[in-house]
Amino acid sequence: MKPNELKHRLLNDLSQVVLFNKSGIILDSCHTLADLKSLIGKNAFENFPFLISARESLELLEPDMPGQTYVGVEMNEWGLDGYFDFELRLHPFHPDEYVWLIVDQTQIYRYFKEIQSERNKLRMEMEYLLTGKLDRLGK
Amino acid sequence: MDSTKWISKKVALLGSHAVGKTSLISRFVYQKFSDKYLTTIGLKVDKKTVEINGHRVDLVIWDIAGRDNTSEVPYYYLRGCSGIIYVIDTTRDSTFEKLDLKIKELQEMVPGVEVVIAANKADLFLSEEELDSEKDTVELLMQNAEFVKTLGGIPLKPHYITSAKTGLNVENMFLGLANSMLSSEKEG
Repeated sequence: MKPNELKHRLLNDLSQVVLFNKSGIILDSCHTLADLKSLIGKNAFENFPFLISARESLELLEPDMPGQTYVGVEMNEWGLDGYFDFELRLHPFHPDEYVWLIVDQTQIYRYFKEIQSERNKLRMEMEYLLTGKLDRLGK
Repeated sequence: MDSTKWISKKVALLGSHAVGKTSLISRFVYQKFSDKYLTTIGLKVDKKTVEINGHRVDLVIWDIAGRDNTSEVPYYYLRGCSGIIYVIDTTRDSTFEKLDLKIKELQEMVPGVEVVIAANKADLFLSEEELDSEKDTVELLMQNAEFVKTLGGIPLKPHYITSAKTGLNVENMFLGLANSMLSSEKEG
């Protein structure tokens, strides 16, 4: 197997593409991470609060413009439970459709969450030490 | 409820790390609080439906990972926001440094947005006995010299003194913001 084929195979299992039109109707999906077959033809805006609240941002997208990225989105819908990077852009050949790329980053972000929480706690404790608010420590 | 108007409003919570944004949302949406601190990685979106003046309002709440500078938030995250809750930690001065400038920046980024400031973790100024007492918590806080001094040092007066731990003013804040958002919609 060529490196390029391997790359596609390795990345394929971690990502999903959902196509929906400007009214939010889900047109197609590859169903790799979440099985959305029952939602084809239904409105993504009604089925996923993130999308309805990002609708005005989506209107800013232009053809050939870089997509909008949302990193580390915690998701507990559609049978998914973890952290995902989203990229939303216009379809390169059908500008009246949106492409929603979902990449599963759960493994790395779960680890990162623990590390970053510890770092933040240390920063907080340092601030308490420096401002003489030692009594806040451990509260 | 059937004949009522259905409205959806996007609300974002912003502020430095570990000020209690996630805890405030958790208290409001799920009536839960955990002492264990876990940072928000990127973004979490929750929804809660409330009824305001006979209207069903879906509050779609964006919990955005803590940042010291509001300008670091991508512009498209805040697009379409009707309300922003800027959360500060009353025990850490760094979380309300240049607050006035940050709020101004937000109002420029999102014209017409309703911004409220939540002075969170107020419970940390009170003893367990005071928190358990029947006395009014805000009244107790106003008698607490350290808390009053802290409030005086905040560049802008907070709209709500909150505690995600005890629930102090959490519901009031979200419902108050929902009310203001609806009022500005009518005016607009």
